[in-house]
Amino acid sequence: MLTIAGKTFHSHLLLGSGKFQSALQMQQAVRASGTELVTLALKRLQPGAPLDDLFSPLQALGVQLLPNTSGARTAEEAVQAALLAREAVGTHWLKLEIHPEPKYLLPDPRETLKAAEKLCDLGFVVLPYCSADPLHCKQLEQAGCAAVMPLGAPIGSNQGLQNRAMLEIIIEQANIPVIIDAGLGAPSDATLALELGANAVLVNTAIASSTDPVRMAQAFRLAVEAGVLAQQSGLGMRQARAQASSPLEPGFAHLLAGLS
Amino acid sequence: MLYINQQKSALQASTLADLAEQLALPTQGVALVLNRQLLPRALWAQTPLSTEQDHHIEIFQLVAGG
Repeated sequence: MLTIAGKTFHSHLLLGSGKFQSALQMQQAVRASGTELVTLALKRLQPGAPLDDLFSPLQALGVQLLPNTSGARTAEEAVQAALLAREAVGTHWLKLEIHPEPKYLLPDPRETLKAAEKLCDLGFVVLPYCSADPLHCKQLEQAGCAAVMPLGAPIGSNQGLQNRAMLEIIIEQANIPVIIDAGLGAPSDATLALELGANAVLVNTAIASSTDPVRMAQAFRLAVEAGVLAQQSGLGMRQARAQASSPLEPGFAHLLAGLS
Repeated sequence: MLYINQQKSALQASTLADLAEQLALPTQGVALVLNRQLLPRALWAQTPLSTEQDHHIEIFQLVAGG
């Protein structure tokens, strides 16, 4: 079970809805992933462009929508985006993301913290995409965020848990859910995140840009379930030396005649 | 004059609700800003668009994103 701001989810996988080849494929991936939280973005309506209604089909699948503030470069812009998102989606849940430079799309820690403080004051349930910095994550927790979402690696890079050592400290110190967001490339990355003690993962590119996104969504579902089971079961200690798993029976020496 | 997302529009609408209908906006997943004020959908029907002044309307829609 994953509990965020008092709400319980069975799935520990959050899914981003971007980069799919079609709305239908995205919906099929949502179903195959078993996710209960799906992120969306806000965009200015393009005059004359066809209106694509994502809201109703996702609502029909019974998932909770989590709008993001993608595009915001400052805290002020993120707060404005949040207010628009709350009106458009009818939810005060928000994925806060402020990444001003396009090359690595890294979260701006100062603006993210500033926006988080303001949005928590305004009553939002804030889930910030943030740097894998234990101190920063603590500050976001103290600001009232409902979870922290540190990155494993840059958005869409499929590099996996490059920030592993820092993520382990974040997980150790957190009193709110830790959701590893961004950079997960393979289902095994998701399993590892859960094994390390993360409460959930958010995946988009690794699923949407695979050759068969619906099957990959299922693979991530199973990988996350495996990670959750492993986390609940307790991993064995790593040790430098071997520990025998069978009896080392000494009585086989010189036992049978005629073999040498 | 009506400006929709910073472009001049030839549309003529008596209220915001009327405009939304002409634009065939979805009934959910949309946020609308009129003259820098975020207006909840519940207020669209009672928000007139007088022809005496310019109106700047920004319309945002939910799209796919991670």
